[in-house]
Amino acid sequence: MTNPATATLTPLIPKGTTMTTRRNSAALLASAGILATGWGIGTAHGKTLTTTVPATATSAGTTAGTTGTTGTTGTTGTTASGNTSGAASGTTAGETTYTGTRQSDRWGSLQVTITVASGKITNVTYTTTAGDGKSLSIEARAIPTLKSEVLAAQSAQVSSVSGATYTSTKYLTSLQSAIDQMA
Amino acid sequence: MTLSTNGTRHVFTSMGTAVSLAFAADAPTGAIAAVENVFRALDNQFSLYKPQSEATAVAHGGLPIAQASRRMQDTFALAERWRNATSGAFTPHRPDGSIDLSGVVKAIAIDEAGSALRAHGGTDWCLNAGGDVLTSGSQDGGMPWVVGVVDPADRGRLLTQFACSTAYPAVATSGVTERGEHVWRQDDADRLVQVTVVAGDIITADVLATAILSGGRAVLDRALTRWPLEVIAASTSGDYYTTPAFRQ
Repeated sequence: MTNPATATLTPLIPKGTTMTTRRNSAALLASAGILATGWGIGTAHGKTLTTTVPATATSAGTTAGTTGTTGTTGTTGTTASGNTSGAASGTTAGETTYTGTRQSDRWGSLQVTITVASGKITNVTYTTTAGDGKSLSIEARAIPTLKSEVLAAQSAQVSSVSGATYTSTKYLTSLQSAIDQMA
Repeated sequence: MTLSTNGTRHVFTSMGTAVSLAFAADAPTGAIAAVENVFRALDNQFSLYKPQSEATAVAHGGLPIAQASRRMQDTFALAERWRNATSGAFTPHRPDGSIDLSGVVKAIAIDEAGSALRAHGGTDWCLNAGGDVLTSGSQDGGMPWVVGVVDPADRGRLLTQFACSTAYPAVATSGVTERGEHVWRQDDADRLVQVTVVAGDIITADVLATAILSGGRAVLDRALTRWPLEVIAASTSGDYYTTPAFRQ
């Protein structure tokens, strides 16, 4: 293990996501948990958030972004004292940060900190130590994506085609073959 | 499909597939021959389809790795390191226990071919071996090399594309359809049918594409925390898992 480095990941849950109920916030975190199934991050923060969110969620649901900051701050103590899986810290300008326990496995360790303001997750950061000491941005996490949301290919720009290994025979009918013939 | 067709393109067959080499300008003298030599030498040594190859002797002829050539040992060691790095999702062993280095040899060939191209003064080229792509520099006119990804649901179409860069020059795709189920699976619960990995080098891209296809989303999630990658994976259900580069 080498020194942990901090990376920013935006957003584990999309910025501005409004969590209106416990169930919804848990579901959002469950989907966000895709990023780090092996570390149980989703679970850890599910606990943190389900104790935190409801106080602000009621108003956040109807007046997103305008919830008073005192409500958010007020729940901080509850979370910090009542939740052993995470810790709350820092309450700057209505924002509250929550740091999960450090989760480790053979791949390294990971610790996630989320920032909540007005019932919304506004930022997620984490520190990690991978086995080789590299620290990476979860910007590169993979999330479920509809085909309509996948970046479309602009065939005019394509200079080569990547696909599952084709045999010499299959090559003759492949898109790569078409490109090679045009050259 | 229209292309910027300035430059040079050369196609040859090796390792049971087609290798396509494109240059933004004229190919440097000797560069094409050097690339072909890299593929030929590795194929002769590592092909399990050649009865006389050293790899065949290792896999089926009782030649112990410890008595094999230095090159064979180094390649086996590389594959073992990747097995460890992926917690076994990538493996140089077949289910029957025999050693199969095919999973890394093509990527090694592409990697070495890239070194050969640079040694010959090649700066702007795109090398595609059987659907795994390594790029350098840019196309004619300074545009990045853009690699299309085959749509696993319709192989005559492109699903998406990636514009390669210095940081991300290598694109590899593993799938279950072209050569049958050529990847040994660890779990069948959440099946991926095609995985494209973009990485800083072709060996990492190729090995991780194989490992993620084999190991599913758990391996995908872990790989993304350990290596700088862009990934698009397609599942049996038609769902995709993407990193930002592949989303609109």
